[in-house]
Amino acid sequence: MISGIRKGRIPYQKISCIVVILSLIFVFYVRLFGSSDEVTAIRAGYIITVTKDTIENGTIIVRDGLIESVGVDVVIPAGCYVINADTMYVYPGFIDAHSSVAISTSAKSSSVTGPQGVEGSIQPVESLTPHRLAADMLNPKDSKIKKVRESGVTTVLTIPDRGIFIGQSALINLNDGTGEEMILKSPVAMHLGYTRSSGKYPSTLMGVIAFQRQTFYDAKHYKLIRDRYKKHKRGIKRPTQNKALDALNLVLNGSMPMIVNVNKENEIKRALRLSEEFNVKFILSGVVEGWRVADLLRNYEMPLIVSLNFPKPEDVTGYSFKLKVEGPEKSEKSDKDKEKEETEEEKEIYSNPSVLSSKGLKLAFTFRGINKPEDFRKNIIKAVKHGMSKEEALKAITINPAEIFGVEDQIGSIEEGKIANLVIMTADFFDEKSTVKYVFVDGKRFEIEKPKKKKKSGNEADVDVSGTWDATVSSPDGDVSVKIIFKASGEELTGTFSSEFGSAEIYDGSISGNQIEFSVKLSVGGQEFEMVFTGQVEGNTIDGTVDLGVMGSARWKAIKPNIV
Amino acid sequence: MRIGYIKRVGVILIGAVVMVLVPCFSFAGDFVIKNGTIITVKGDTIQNGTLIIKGDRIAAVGHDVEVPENAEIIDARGLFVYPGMIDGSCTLGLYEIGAVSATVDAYEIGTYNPHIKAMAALNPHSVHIPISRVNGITSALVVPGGGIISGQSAFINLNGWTQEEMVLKSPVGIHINFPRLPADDRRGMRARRPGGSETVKKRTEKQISELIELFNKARRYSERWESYLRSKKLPAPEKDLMLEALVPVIKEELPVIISVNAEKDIKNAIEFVDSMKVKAIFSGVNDGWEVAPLLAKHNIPVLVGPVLQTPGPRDPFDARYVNACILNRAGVKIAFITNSAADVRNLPYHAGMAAAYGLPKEEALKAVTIYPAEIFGLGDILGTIEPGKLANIIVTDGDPLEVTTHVKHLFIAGEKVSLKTKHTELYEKFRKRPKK
Amino acid sequence: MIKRMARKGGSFYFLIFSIMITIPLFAQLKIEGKGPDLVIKNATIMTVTNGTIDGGSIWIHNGKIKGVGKQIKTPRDVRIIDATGYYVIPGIIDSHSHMGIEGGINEATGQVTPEVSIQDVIRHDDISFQRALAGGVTAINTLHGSANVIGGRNAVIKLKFGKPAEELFIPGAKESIKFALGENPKKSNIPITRGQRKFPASRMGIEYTIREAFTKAKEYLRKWDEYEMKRKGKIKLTKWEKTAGLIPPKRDLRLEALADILRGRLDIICHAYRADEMLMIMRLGDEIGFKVGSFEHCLEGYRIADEIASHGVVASIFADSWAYKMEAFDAIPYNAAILHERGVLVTCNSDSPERVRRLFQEAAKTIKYGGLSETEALRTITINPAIRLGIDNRCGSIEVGKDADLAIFNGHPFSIYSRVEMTIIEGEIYFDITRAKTTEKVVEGLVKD
Repeated sequence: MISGIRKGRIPYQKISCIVVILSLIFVFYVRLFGSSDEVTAIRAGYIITVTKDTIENGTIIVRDGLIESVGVDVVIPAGCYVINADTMYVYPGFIDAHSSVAISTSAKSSSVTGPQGVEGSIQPVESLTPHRLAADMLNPKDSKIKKVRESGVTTVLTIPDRGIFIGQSALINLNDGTGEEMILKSPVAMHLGYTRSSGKYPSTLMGVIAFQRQTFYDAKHYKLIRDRYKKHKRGIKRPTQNKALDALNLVLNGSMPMIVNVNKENEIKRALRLSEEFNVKFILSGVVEGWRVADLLRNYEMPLIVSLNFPKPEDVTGYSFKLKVEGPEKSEKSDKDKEKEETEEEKEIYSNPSVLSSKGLKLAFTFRGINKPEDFRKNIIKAVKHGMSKEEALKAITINPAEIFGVEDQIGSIEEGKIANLVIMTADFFDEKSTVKYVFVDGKRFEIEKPKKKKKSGNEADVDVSGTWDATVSSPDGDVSVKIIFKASGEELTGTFSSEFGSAEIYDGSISGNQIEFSVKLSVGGQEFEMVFTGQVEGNTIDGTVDLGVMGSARWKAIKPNIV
Repeated sequence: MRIGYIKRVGVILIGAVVMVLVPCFSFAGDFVIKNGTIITVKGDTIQNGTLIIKGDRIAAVGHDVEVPENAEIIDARGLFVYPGMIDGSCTLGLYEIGAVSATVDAYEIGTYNPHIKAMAALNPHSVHIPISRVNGITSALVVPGGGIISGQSAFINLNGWTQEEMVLKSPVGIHINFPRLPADDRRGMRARRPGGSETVKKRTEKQISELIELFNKARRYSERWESYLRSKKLPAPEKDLMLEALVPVIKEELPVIISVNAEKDIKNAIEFVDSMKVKAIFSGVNDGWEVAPLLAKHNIPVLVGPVLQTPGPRDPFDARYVNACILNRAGVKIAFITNSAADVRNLPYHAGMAAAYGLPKEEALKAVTIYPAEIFGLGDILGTIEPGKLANIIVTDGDPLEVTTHVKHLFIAGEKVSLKTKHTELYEKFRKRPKK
Repeated sequence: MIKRMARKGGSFYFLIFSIMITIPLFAQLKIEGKGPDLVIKNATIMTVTNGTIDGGSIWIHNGKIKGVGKQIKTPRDVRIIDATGYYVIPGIIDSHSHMGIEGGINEATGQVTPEVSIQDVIRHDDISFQRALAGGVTAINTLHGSANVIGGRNAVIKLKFGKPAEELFIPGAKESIKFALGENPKKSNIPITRGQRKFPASRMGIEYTIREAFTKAKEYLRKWDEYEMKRKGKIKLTKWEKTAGLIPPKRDLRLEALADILRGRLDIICHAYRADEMLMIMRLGDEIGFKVGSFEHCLEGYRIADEIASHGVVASIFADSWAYKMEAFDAIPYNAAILHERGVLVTCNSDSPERVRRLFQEAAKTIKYGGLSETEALRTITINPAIRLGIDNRCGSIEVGKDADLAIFNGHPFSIYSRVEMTIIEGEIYFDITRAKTTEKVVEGLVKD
């Protein structure tokens, strides 16, 4: 056809009309029954490649899940699904460097026996699961996947949120396939956390730290024994295999990186001390108070995963130092002056990414903890307002995490041959009014609809907890049976808590979504003490933690018996 | 002749027996305390003065006073004579050992218990009573706890074989633990989650309106009964012990004593008291320094403290220490409290700490003597050394608010009370343990 | 605020108020001059170890006391604090505290957990530090709780509020493992279930728990000794060890801590109330080979003062706290007097963020109950805890060469009417009442609340 036009045999205008009409019909057809196997062409106003210069008015061709070509002079093949994004901006799909999206909450894996010590005090330790693979725990039906993807995030490093020796993360593409289809790389890294158990060892932070150290020593000793046994078996007692310690030795010998959850100044310092004790270089993740120890981190010379879930000033270490002289305003007074002005403390917090970046450290961002996935962009804009360069900020959600996790050959920038993970936005990323129009994951196109206006009723309770519940509180001394009668009206929760120690009215009760919270004061042994219950409601069961103040904490479970 | 001889011997023998037995008992009778420095609290200090105790009263104070016959003479040379101190709120007699619930009767279950009386559970032989009085605390307000309306307090002398002998006045007031709004500076999940805080606020408002409704109900009950008692017109109204207990409050014959600490709660409590038109005393009042003029304007006396407490995390470090001073300066009548049983003996140090942080020393002393007496309507019989008042007297070797001072002689309602306690006895016993 | 008062309260209150705020309540400690060194002039200095100096001066240089006395020579360029009418004592040391700890103070999920350490979890921005500084306290021994028989390691820190956590530790301080006897570890006061208590539920079981723990620790030590001997060739290796090679025993942090107690590297800080349980652990120590460093609270110590003295245990007591538990029911405030009289080193501790602010009052109670002298009472909160904690070479008294840790009172420290106006640690002023946010300043509107 083209050669026909060239040779002048068919009138140009007639041909182009037919072409246009045909392609319109084709496009219309494709729009209704779009298939991911189709070759797609994106004509974009701006293509931000990240690794090379930005291309204006260029085209990207996506075929077989990959970026076939990108450039200004790219020819659009026949029969392509074309997206005319002439005024829009295309970015590489964003990467959240530390998430728990698509992790199935019900997955349980067998834990291994913990530190041996004096008999009578050994308990199987739930948190010793470094051998656990996130890839085995995926839930491709997790509703969060869609929400996160719609903000432009196409890839996440995923691992459960809580635990100590949590397991090995997987890098997943947020397509809508099966678990296996999502996995880009597994395992990626081993994860270390500081979650305290309730009612089980270790229940204090110092217990967690001792447990971490002991487990590393266990792993080292295990390796000595195993290595020796490999060479000499005669006369030596056969060592038992321990999956957890096998996995941990991958970190100790440097073959797998370890990512540690730390945010506050002291937490960062503790992780650095542990790193020194066992000669392992950790990747620190979170680091919201990194600015307080920026020089320490600069000398540490490792990449950082920086959280954009900025803390409130009163939660930052050192806030109380200011109380010793002139104190800050008491919160009720601050209603008067609606804080449009940022305080000094807030400025420091938002400058965290810029301070760390200026020390020459490679940063990747994570949005863990931010409630609305689309808010991560607001916080990146804040970080840029407080000194971070736009280029560095973009790299932190694209090529940097790709490099840190060893997948820079596959994702992290818009280059020929890489996986077609792309985000098309209506305006520049740093423009607050910009929205995400399309997201491509593994070449599959997702069109983002405008969000419907939410009803003004706020977080309505998903479940009605009103009624009588049989509950059990599991404490170090054993289980206690209690009866709880809840009365829920909207978000407010009242009711009665009855146990062998008497009844009491519950107070400070609320039910929001499926999160339940309430408090009870009991008089036991002449002492009054207050218990704060929190938990998650799932159907007819509630599972959660109860804070007993100085007595520590415990787990509790409740079931609503079906009354026939 | 012989019979007369026997009589004389008999008298001597009996006298000897009495003299031997006398130190074992508290001695009731007349006393003369001479040569001491008498701090009357009413005004002037009397150097080298004489105090006469007759029966249970102070008969005379001064220099040229008439000394009764057969009075025991106590030489207070180099010593000081003060009125006995008063703890404005405690659980003496209701609490023995904290962790052993069988020994604690200080709290009752239920939300509205205005009919519950502290006097009913008071143990006159609690070990804490002698231990507290030997440091100079001669009377105290014993307060019940639990619920929103805890019950009726009793004002006692720290001496007596039975409750009736100890109690000077009961009820003194109806105690209310005022519903609390969520604290803004409370760390933890409740304060952080806006939903949680809102829920607490709604609950508090509901509790306050229920309280108001209860008081209105009591008012109507009172009117019904008043009308019936006047006219005797049948049918008679129903009896309700709970509402009946509130009637004296409605009639302003008895005050409500409201436990309240946070600024917002104090303001709510003031509004409540105003709208219900009842007499009120406030207790605790940790944030008193923020609302002192308001309390003064409403003439609300404050049982302040305990002073020896940690401040809230956002409060200035000396908030609990300076509180009493600021209230006092604004014209609020204050009294110090311990809210304890085992720690009542340290009442003077709460007062002393307040003095270290600004409260004038004389005011600190008044706040453990005449001010609590006046607040509880007993100002005519207690609180100062004046003729006609009850003889609650301590003779000390120094300022009773100073830690190193000792009480040398103790009088409660004119009775000379022994300074022996469980503690002094254990001390004597183990001091004498043979050395190894 | 003043206007509001004038309107509502009438001119009477306004008059009183305006008179009141113009009367300075107390004299103020002012710092004049410039220079790196600090000199406190003309104060009553209670040195603790060398008597009291009236009208004396202290010269502080590089964080240490360079001079103390009535007439001392100081360099020309110094900052001077005129402390006429003021009393200076050594910074108060609280030997039993739980302040500044993050993430829980009791690893109560097991009865034996000496592998945990408070040193790992110091929270240096705890506001209670500031409250304690306002009470003249400069150093604390912050501890694991008493919910289990054998807890964790302590941390001895200075309250340098504002400095990072690692700068608070006092090098050379004694390290101890917290032990607890009596009602707390056997959980007798928290009957959360009926008939389902865990071992140990009695003082008998507590004795066994300690005995068993040390028996296992001895076994651990033996294994390591054997390994060392084999490594050095002092013991013959087995045939198989010769071919396969020697591997050290597994390092067990829990047993190691217990072994360190046996080796004397760590000492025992033992929470105990009843006389019989204190005798029990001293006896057990003699039998197994460990020493108790101090009894914490030691409320019935007065019953066995000679035994405590002969075993060399320090008594770290409450001045007069009692009756909150059954085991505290026979406590007497004369405890310190009897213990002291029989030769026991006594320290007054707080175990509370409230009591820590007035430890000088607690010390004064030892004068009231049993007649300790003023110096002896002051020792219980200064040099005695310093000796107990192994920091008496640098803290606990005002002597040349020691750290400049000082508390300045506006009157005699044992008078109830005195208060701390300045607290200095290593020559730096960490609390100054003229610059601190006080309630008066907030009320007068001088600071935002």
